[in-house]
Parts: sequence; C-alpha cells; structure tokens
Amino acid sequence: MIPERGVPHHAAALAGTLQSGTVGHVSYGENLPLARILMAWELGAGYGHLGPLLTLSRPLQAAGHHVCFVVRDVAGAEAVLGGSGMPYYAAPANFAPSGETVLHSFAQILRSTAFNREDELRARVRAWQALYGLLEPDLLVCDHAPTALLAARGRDIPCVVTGNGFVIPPDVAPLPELRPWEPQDKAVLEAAEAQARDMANAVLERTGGGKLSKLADLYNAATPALFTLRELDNYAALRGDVEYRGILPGPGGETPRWPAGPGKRVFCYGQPFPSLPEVLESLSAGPHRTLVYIPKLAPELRRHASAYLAFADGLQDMDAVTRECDAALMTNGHSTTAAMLLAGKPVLLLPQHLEMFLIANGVQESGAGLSAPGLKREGIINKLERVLQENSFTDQARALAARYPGRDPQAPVQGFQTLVERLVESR
Amino acid sequence: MAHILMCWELGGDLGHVARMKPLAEALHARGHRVSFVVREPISAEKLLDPVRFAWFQAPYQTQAVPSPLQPPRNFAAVMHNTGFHAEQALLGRLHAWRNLYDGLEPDLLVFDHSPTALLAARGIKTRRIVLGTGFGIPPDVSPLPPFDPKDNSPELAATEQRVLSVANAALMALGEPPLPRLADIYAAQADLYFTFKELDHYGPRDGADYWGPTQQDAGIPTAWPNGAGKRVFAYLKPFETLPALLKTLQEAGHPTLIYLSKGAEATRRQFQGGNLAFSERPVDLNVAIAKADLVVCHSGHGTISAALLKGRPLLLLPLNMEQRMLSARVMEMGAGLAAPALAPEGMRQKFQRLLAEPAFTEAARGFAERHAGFEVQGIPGRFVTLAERLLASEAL
Repeated sequence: MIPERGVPHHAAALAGTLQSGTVGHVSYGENLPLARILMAWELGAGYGHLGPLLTLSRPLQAAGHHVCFVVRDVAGAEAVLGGSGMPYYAAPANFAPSGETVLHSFAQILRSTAFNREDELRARVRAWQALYGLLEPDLLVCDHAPTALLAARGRDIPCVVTGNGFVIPPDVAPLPELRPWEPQDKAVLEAAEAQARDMANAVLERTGGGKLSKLADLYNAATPALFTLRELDNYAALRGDVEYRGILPGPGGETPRWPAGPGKRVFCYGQPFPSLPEVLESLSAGPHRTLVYIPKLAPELRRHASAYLAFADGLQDMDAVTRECDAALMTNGHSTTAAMLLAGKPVLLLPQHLEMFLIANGVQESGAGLSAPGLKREGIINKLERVLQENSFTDQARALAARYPGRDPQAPVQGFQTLVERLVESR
Repeated sequence: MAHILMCWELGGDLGHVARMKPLAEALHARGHRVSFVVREPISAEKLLDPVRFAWFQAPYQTQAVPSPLQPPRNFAAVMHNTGFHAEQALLGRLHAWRNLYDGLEPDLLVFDHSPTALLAARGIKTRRIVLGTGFGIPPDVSPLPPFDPKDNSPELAATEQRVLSVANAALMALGEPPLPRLADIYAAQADLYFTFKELDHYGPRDGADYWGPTQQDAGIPTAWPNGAGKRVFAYLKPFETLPALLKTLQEAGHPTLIYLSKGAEATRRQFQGGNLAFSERPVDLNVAIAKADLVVCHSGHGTISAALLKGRPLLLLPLNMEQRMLSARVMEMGAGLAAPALAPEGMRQKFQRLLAEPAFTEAARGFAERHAGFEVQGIPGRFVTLAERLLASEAL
C-alpha cells in the first residue's frame, strides 16, 4: 500500500528494528562521509509527506547517516516514525491558515498559509534557524516546507526539495494559474506573487540570506527530487530539463481479498465523500467485484458488504491490487494513482481538493481514466462503467505503463540516496 | 553558566511570554543562556530580543480533538481538550519535547501552562520550576476540583480517570512509572504563583508562594476624551453584545477610553467620537488605569491586577471559564461586578451600580492597601536567586 493522505504508513510494517522514537546514537562506519540530514515537512495534512520521507530516510539511516525530522504533525510522526529510531521535532508552522479554499496559484497557497504575515513568517523563520543551530544539518530535505527553505538561505545548508509536482513550483514568473477552468484575474495573481516575494525579502533582510528576485527562486536554489510521473505533474510543461524520479514504493500491506465470482475487479480507495453511501449501495448490487479500502469509513457503511462488495481493514499490498484489479475508483492519492497507471490499469478519480483536481486533469489528458468532480452517484457509476467497458482507457493506461519499462520499484529510493550522498560529499 | 529553558504550551496571546520575559532578561544579564519553547512564535518575535534569545516551536495539539468536553468542568477536561484525549497524539508530543530536552540539555526547566512539557520531563534529572497564574497550576489534590465550586457532577472524576489513564499509557511507552494522581504531573522544585492570593482562580491555597504578576510591556499613553464625569477605561475584545455595551458607555456620557483588540472595525467607527475615544494601539495599562475611576474588561488577569493595585473597581465581562473563575474572586472581595451573561440590561445596571455605589471602590482600595508594598521590579531578581539556588543544589 502506498502512503497517502489519511492513510497511516506504519513504520512497524516496514523492516525497521530500532525501538526508540527519541534521539539514538549513530554508529559511524569506516569510510562513508556520514551526515546529519534533516527532513522538513511544514504544509499539508495526513501522511502523504511523512510516508515518502520515511521511505527515503530508511536507506540513509541504514548507511549510518543521522536522519531527523521536523514535522507539522507530531502525532502523525509518532504513527509513522515511532520506533524508527529517527528523532522528530515540531515544525514552526501556521496552524491557523486562512479559511480561503479557492486558491489559484502557488503564491496564493503560500499567502494563505506560511507567508500570511511578515511578523509571523519572521518569527517562524527564526524558530527554524534555532533548530538548524541545534541540529546542525549537513543537508536539508524539504517536502512542502517553504519557511524551512527561507530560513536555510544564508545558513549555508544545501537543500533538496522533494515531493510530487504540486509542492515544487517551476522556475518561472509569474507562476501559473492552477484553475484554468475558472481563472482569476492575472493582476490579482501577480499581486499575490509580488506580496509573497516581498514578504520573503523583508524577512530575509532581518534574518539573513540572499534576496529573491522572483518567488520561485526560493525553490530553484535547492536541488529538486521530483517523485512523480511527468503525466501527473501539473507543472510539467513549465519545467526545464528536470528528472522525474518515478514513484516511491509503499510499505506493503495485506493481500487483497476480492469478492468471489466472474465480475470485473474494482479497487475503491480514499477519503469518504458525501455520496459515498449511495455509491457503495450501487456497487454492492454488482455485477463488478469491488474491494473498498477507506480508512475513515463510517462503521455503519459496512452494511453495504455483499457478494459483490468487500471491505478491507488495513493497508493493502498495492503490487497485488494493481496486478489483479481492472480499474480503480479513488478520491485521492497521487502515488496510488501513479501505481495504477504504471500497472496499466485505468482509473476514475473523484477529486475533492485542488491538488487532486490537477492530477485528475492529467489523467484525463493522458486518456487513461476519467474524473468525476461532481461526486454524484449517477456520474460516478456511469463513468466507472465507461472506464471498465471502453477499451481506450485500458489501452492508454497500458501505453503509459509501456513508457516506463523494466521499472525497478527501489530505483527511486536508491537514486535519492546517491543524490544525497553526492550533495553531502561535495559540501 | 547554566542553560535555562522556558516552556509554554497552552493558552494564547502575549501573556505567557510577557510573564517570562523579565525573568529571562534577568537570567541573561547574569550570564546564563536562556532559550524558549513557545506555542506561538509570534509572541516571541513581538516581545523577545532574537540576539539574546533563541526560540523553538512548542509541540502542541494543533488539531481540534475529536469530541471535546464542553464545557470543560475541571483542569482534567482542559487537558483532554488540548491533547490528552489519545495516547498516540500525546506520545507524539512527548517524544518531540524530549528530543528538544535531549538536544538543548537545559540545566533548569521553567514551565508556564505546559502539562505535556512537564510530563515529558518526568524521568529527566533536570530541575523544574512551574509558574503561572492560579489557573495554570492546578491544585495538588485528587480529584482535581471543579471550576465551578457548586459542580458535583460524576463526570469530573470520570474525566480525570480517563486523562490519567491516557497519560499513564504514554508514560509506560516511554518506560516511565505511572502517575498515582493527575496532579502529580505538576510536581516541581518550586511552584511560583505570579498572582495575588485573592486572585488565585481556585481560591487561596495553603503554603502557596504568591509573587504577584511580573512587569508587562507598556503600551502607549493615550489621551482621554474631554468632558466632565467619571473616567472609564475599557479593555475589550469583540463579542456579540459589544454594541449594547458601547451604547451604555456612550449614553452614560462619562469620558471613556477604549482599547478594542482584534477587529470590530465597523463597531469602532460607529461609536467613535463624543465621550468615547478608541485607541488604535495597546494602551499603557498603568497610565490609563491611574486616571480611571472604573475599569471594564473581560476579566483578564493582567488588567484586573493592574486595576486592583491602583484601587479601581471593575465591571467584568468574562468570555470563558478561566475568566469567570477570576471574576468570582473579584466579586468575593467586593471590588467589582461580573456580567457573565453579557446581556445588555445586566451590563448596563452593573455599570451604573459600580459608578454610583462607593463600596466597590472602597473594596478595591482595600486590595491596593494590602499590597502597597508589592514591588514588581523585585521579581526578576528574586527569580534569579531562586533559579541559582536550585542550580547549585544537590543533583536530583
């Protein structure tokens, strides 16, 4: 199972044997240049940032590097990192973001969260810098952590920015409209971008670090490690020669137990949504065989279990799920979507927030699936039928998968380790 | 020289860092290193010198807990609602606090309203000072007392058991022995009550060390509107019946100075002028109160202390349980009236009584006389002496 928003990615499910969540001692090897690596996560929710960061950290830790985490959600960190032997600290973050939900650009996302007010941003930059003073990292790895990046400017700490496409803006100004289907006035977007840049520069003046000539400079000073597919990167057209490192392997999980019978197999995964009860009702009547894994499922919805519909209780073995299913129905999950496509399986996506809207758009453009943003029963069921019955969706998913032949699931992790060790060595 | 760590986990606004600031400055002046772990870095940014003091983000429960206990009936319920509801959430914060302690290696820990930070310090051989107003230091008894003395709900004991078992489960995961009682979280080498005996939220405690409040940063001196009559100073936040209160103040015709924090721009514009003057920036409390005949506030500890030290009576409009508890103490001594329902007629009648009946001012003056010897400037030095005595004492 691949870690996504809302899905715990238990360290215990992995091969780890270390027992403590607190600071442990690093055993230094013979010839390796061992480093202190700080993994930073500031914005976003769920486990979609912690899970991948843990996957990237494991081999670094095994190689003897000292890895620590600074995280938005320490309770989530306990769920994901507890027992890993890698210590974690609370990230200075804006925990009362503006209620604005219709955001149109990366600059607006920053203005509504980390870059809300100059004095608050400055206060948090100083708190990040205090952590850098305490932890003395040789390398900073940021997954959606703009304030961590800002604080690292002028501290001579090399940075890697990691994550999917959505959290790493392209090196352009102005940054693009993220809702081209309902665009905002360009002047408004450019004003937000100028405000964010000017606020960052005002903070840098007091806390140290080179000025930004454009907002994206915050990110282009770092080395990118983009874990996505070009087809799922909403900024793909605006990036130069960037390396797409593929998707990270998940921690594994239970063998999927499909309902018996001859029907097609549908994997249903993600967050609850308002019409979920009706959709489950429809699916429970067949004729397809549906396996549902919704971690936050309301218990009463289990009444829809039937000969055609089964509920899974824990993380699923995604290699088996993607191999065995005919299509997937998902509300969220960048990595799960990518895993389906790489297995040549079409998807129907039910986006509930901007990031997922953009991924759903990418999937529709590739022809490997559909999006049902209305989240209505009729639309979902009709589109699911199309995805299952019309060959073109499966054909396009297979064509996409064929562009990534002989994929080694561990290659992205190993590639990241090589990158990190190169950056640390050249320091 | 020693490293002293000042911790703040619960509550909001500037009050907690403001309370610790003069202590930190005095320690620093003696050559000690002082670091802060703060719930809201903006408070540190506004009040502390970043050259002398580093601050870290405090691990706290940032998401609303599922099924909060409303209203909270005792301190155990407050703890439940601020992250003692589930073992994993608590354990996450405990590890994050401990990792800070391990990295920062403080010689002395100072806690202001920080139960998780205190729990994380169990099993660590570092000396501890707990400080705060009465509310931030629950009485050392089991069961913890109800906020409302008349409350005898069985829920009180059940909540305490629930919170204690979550705390003990987390302690077990840390390899620490369980707590016999929830109040044991607050065990420290010194408990310092930065309040007066009469203003202890829980009522006077035997043997408690009451220091009085520390010096708060001064705001700006502000001019009063001209006119005859008694002078009223009001320190308010927006609330639903604020327009009715302002109407009362307007109609009474007394020169009234108002500091209205956080918003309510339209209301401010509507009432600005005549006998009402609004200050745009925080008002220097001591200057304003010295010239006032009556103080109107939400029952914040700082404003009440400042008013009573100058012998001024209070109209109290508490917005939460902590403020209601404190307003009950002021009522007990006869130095003010509370209108906790915030009903227009109640606020109006109490406002008129406070101006008409001299008994309230007399009671407030009685408080001022009892504490005439209180010297706020002496607190930091006294604190340094205590801290250095603890630092020099035998290892724990």
